[in-house]
Amino acid sequence: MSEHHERYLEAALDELYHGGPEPDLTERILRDARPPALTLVPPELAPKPRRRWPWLQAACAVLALGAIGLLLLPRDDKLPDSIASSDSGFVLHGDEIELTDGWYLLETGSPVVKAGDARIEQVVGRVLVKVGEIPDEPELSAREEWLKRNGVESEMLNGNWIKAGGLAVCLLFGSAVVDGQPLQAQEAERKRVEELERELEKARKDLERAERESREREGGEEHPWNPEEAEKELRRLKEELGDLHLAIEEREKEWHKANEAKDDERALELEREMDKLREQAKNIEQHIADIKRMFEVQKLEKRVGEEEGAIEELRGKLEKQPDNEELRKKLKAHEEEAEGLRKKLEGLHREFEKRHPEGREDGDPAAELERMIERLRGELEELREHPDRNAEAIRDHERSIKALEEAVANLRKGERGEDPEGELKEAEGHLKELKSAIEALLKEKKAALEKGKEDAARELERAIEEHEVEIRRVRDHVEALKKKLEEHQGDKKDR
Amino acid sequence: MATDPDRETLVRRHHLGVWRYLRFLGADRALADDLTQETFLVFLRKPFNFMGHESTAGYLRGIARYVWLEERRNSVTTAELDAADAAFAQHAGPSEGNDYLDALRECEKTLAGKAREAVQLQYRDRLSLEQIGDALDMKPNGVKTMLQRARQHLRECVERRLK
Repeated sequence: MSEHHERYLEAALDELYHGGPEPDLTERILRDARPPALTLVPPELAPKPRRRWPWLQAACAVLALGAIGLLLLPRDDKLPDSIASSDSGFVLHGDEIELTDGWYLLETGSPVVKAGDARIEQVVGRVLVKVGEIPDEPELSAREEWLKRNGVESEMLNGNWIKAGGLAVCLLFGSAVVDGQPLQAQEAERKRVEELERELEKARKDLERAERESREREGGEEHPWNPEEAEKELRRLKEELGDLHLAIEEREKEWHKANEAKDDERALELEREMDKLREQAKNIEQHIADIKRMFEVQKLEKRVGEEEGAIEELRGKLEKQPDNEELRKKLKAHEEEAEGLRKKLEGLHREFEKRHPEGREDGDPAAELERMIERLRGELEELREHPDRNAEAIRDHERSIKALEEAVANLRKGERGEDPEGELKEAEGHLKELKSAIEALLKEKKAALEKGKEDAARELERAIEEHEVEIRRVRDHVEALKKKLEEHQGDKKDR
Repeated sequence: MATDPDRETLVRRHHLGVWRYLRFLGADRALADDLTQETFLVFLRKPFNFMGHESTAGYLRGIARYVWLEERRNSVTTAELDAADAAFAQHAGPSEGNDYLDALRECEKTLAGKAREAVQLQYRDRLSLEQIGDALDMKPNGVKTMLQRARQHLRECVERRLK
């Protein structure tokens, strides 16, 4: 649990100094989660289309100058922020909107929209509207970014356009009344939903597979014995083992050369590599032995089954011919054979359990850490494929690997023998630091009291107390180490 | 009768807890942002009965766990995640880490002298042990030990305050 607390603390320290998530994260979530916007969305980002009807422009100009200018009050004053745009091509008429140009996405609750004689009303769902003709490919491409931003994929539009007066209308989903005619949703959205569901299903299956594989790697789940697969695995392992032995031999040759050249550093490096390779070879040998044992178990189980079948048959016959001594002898022989096989089987199972008390656990914490290092190195390689995107994760991994390597080195050192002298020096150094820290805190406390900052002084007092506790702990540790060191030196003398 | 909070309220209330959980699992900051967003998109797509904020936080962590497993594919085991889940719930508590962070903020102030400087250099300035050693005129090993002690002090201090 302390390892997790350490990890939690590190994440919290990072948050303390660098803050939490991006400030706009909630907005991003909410924006992506809900339909793009309510009612009417103007094509803000897309290049503004050139007005195609000069007569309409002229009419608008006349109107703007005329007495019914009320209808042409500045749009920004009349429309919600999400609608207004400098030249988006619409005019408000009370509760209705007259479209003159551009593209619009209408959603549930949208007011009546019209262009000339064409009217769109009672929108329940989403309707894409373009003033003018049904758009062609280049027009759609030009609007692609805006459409995507509003959650409209181009495949939703294929073949779903209709023409209503001066408007091109595409009902994305739901229903609407266009020119008095009720229209139902097209297939596009339904297909999209189905596609998303399929994607989700696939993701779920992938996840299940990943979990199953993880469990299998952990040895937490028994998987059925497949002799063909096992044969394949055996062949692969034997090849791998052969390669490892070759690699060890090569390093041995190099090691001899390094020794002759008195290149101690290289020799040491090679020794480490060989140790690692031997460890891998040992694991593979064990794995091979396990597979062979499984084959043997299979064979024995099959033979036990055959014997049991024969025993059943003989018992049946004996019931009919109870005086048949020949049958009785045969039965006894089969029973003895079956018993012998069962004992063998039990022995094999016991041996297997002894070798694998808890799945793959081997009780060697350093080896466990080395496996973690291996895994992290693999991840690091993947992360390095995108160094810009993963800079932080790369640093984290490198740091973790370094820390784990140090931990392994310490554990191995512990296995080889302790170094109380080094530890003592370190602890004494720490004691010194703690003492100077307390002195500094006392000064700060004094200064705080002089300035009348009682709260700060209390806080500092608490820090001093905590440091004192720590000093006591380190002092005890120093004493224990001194004692250990004395014993250590005594042992040396004895030897 | 009190009405259930709407989804927007739930996003605002729980996004930090989900983000912290993902950071705790090992996601870097940018990835945690992305995966938090993904977690909530999955959450908002599914039908959901509100059973209280603590239960919602647990439910969201379940989705985040799924998203994290997807992200990590085969490099993380469910056993590791189970242990991590339990540890996160224990440390973050019902406030989803807010209380812990507040306590840590206070405890950090109680670190004195070089220990505080070392912690700041490591976690605020992201310096290596060697760089911290250079800055504080200490050997990297000494820095390492001091940081270990400082973290231990912080852990104990936070635990005391949370009690």
